Amino acid sequence: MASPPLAAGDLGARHPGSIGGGGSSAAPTAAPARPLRVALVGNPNTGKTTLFNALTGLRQRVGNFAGVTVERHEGRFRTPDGHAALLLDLPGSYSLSAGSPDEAIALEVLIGRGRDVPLPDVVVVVADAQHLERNLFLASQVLELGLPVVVALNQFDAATAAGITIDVPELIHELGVAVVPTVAKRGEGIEALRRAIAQAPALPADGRRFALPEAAESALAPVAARLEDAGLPPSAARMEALRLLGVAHPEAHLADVAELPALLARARAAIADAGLVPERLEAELRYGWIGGVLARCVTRRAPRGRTATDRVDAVVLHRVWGPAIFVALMALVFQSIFTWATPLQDAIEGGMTWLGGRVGALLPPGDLNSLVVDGVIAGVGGVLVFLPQIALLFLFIGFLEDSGYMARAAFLMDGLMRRVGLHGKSFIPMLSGYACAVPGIMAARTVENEKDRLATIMVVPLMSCSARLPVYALLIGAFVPPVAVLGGALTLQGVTMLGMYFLGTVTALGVAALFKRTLLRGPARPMILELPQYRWPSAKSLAIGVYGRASLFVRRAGTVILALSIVLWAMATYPKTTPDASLPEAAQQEQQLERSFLGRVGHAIEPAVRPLGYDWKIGVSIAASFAAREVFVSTMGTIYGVGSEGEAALPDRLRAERDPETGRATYTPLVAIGLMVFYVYALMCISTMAVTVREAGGGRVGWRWAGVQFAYMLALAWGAAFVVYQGGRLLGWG
Amino acid sequence: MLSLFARRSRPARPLTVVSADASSSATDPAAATPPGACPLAACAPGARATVLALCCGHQEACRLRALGFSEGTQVDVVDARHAMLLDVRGTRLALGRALTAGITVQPHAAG
Repeated sequence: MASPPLAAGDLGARHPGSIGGGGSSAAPTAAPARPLRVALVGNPNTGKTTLFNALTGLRQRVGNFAGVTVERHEGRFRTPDGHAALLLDLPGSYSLSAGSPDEAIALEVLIGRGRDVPLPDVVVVVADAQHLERNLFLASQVLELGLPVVVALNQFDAATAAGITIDVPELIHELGVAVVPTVAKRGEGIEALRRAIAQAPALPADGRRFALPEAAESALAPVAARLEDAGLPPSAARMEALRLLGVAHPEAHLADVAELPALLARARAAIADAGLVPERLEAELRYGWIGGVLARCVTRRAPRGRTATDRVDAVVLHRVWGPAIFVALMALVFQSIFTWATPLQDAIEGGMTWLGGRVGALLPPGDLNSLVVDGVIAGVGGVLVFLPQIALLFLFIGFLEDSGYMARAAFLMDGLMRRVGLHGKSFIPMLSGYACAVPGIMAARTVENEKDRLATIMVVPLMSCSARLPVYALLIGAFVPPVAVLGGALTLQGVTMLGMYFLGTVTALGVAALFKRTLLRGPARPMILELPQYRWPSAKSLAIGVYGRASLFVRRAGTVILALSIVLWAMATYPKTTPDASLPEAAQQEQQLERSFLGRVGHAIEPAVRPLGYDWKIGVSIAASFAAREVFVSTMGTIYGVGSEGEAALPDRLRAERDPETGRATYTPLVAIGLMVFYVYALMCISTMAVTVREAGGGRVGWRWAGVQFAYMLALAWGAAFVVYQGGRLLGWG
Repeated sequence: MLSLFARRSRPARPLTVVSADASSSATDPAAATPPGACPLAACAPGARATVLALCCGHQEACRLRALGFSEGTQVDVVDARHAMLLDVRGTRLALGRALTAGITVQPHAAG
């Protein structure tokens, strides 16, 4: 029963070609006209993404499935016999019964109802060798579909280390398909897996038939027949009929199957009459089968004692130490993002200044020079500066996720989140929101319930993202003195900064609670969360993940932000006027700006920002930063005629600014605090709005939710800034 | 107000009672609650119990069964606070209190 210890060369070499008895083990001889379509399915936390990366390397791209917001990872590789294969990574799921939009995709693709995805030629089921019992549930569903299947027994080394011995030939015999042990993290077994994938289409794949009790068999026959009429392959129809017994409502893609709910109700009644519980039938049947398979193929060395994961959890989930470690870890992450990214950011900034100088010198002075230097290079460069921070943040989040800590954080925060009306899982998107609301909103997909997901999406942009940082940094640097507080442990500047983050977070929780009690009222769905075993993440997989995110960000900087920069530049430059030549040059620039389109916009909105204590110049900066809040800083620089070389001078200019009529300082500390509070709350980011439209349902529904989000955040921002400024003045602080 | 935003018009999803407590199926082993059975939420850390009935939303019951948390399964209670930490079929799950209160189990004798 024992399998020999795992050696890289020998992985999966055990007769993968001879499965299925009558099947020919010869590889297909004629080269197929199109690449082999391979789909990858598996439970979450099985190392599926690592396996995907190991198979494809960087030959992958991220897109979307048609009509939905689920990310679609596709990659290419070559089989050992030289055929091209197209690998589709389906979202991780525990079963084909979908709880979230992500999981619905896996089912649609596998039963041939994917909107733009043809039925795959081969399905690779990734199973965690340590948790075979649970992983075989999904595998048993896939085995019934009648598609060629290859099972990758991933994390085989960890299973061996945990004293679990899996008799692979016996498992191949039991499952009737190729089984390849892999250690995706180290690339072991990948070549054997490629070989098994190449051979699978030539093997017979009739679809496994599980023996059902006779009463169930006859009760389900009409359901299966109807599904077959609707275009499902016969074996898939049988599997679906059984699966649908335990599902409250057939998934959306089955909505057009006539009379399906009525047929299912009849089948349930017939099964109940026979003394069975229809909802339990599938789980009992599959886990019964799995129990037999495990008894024949798996041996455990000793009863499981306290594992390394248990020992870590004893501390990490401790009632007192757990939250303390969580807070310390977050502090460390943010601190490192700011400190580690600074040299890289300085380098990018320096590079941009240098580039601007060189290009500026090459081009003849005039509008083209100004467009390229002040518009394109300064605009895009101002955003590219955040690339190091974003890459670092994704590295940390990837590490926390892949190591298994993220699920613990969700568990720790469940108590707090439950009071809000959400559950612990919603905390992960909010946490990601500290970096950037775009990935944060995308991370909300893991929240199964639609109302909870929407409530999460609505509040993620309240978490202070990295684009607010330059705004805070400029205003705090100019108006908050670096006085030591708390016995010198922190400065007043640091405390102010922390206060802004805290304000955003507390408000996010409050607003979520409000949404859950009004527009998105509904019972809090209880949390069901797997706490995976801790493991050391694969460096390659982390790197590929960060690379993917970073290149997405750069692409956006090259498109949306480039276009915006050009528009803003044009608005600040035209129409050209002849400024009063008697004025000093800085004043001439100011006059030109005041008469430009952007200046007119500033004057137009001045009545709206007057009660907040702002003049038209701040109005211009706010108006300019509606599409991307970090533009506030560069606009201020433009308005006050400070080039990027003299950035340090901007705070001095702000402090020196006087109201031309009253002669009082335009920027008091009260105005600065009010302005920061405005930026804590205002949704000024076109990328966030775009992603909200997509993630909240797309189309008109998505636009409506994005509108709600934008409007409530703007109202909150204006109201809070008003209260700060007017309240402060009443108290005599202004 | 919500109907304004709902993506698909879908009837309100009732909480389906999955347990047979309310059903008339006399042959269901869970219909007659055996003596000593209690909600999972009442179990203390360190306890071991067998799941008798899942009495929760249909969607949750379906998910729990897929995760191996089905009737007849043995669970070990690792920790119990606002949510419970449980070992089920070799994997560790965290379940919210709303869920554990509706799961009927038969605790095993201590020791």
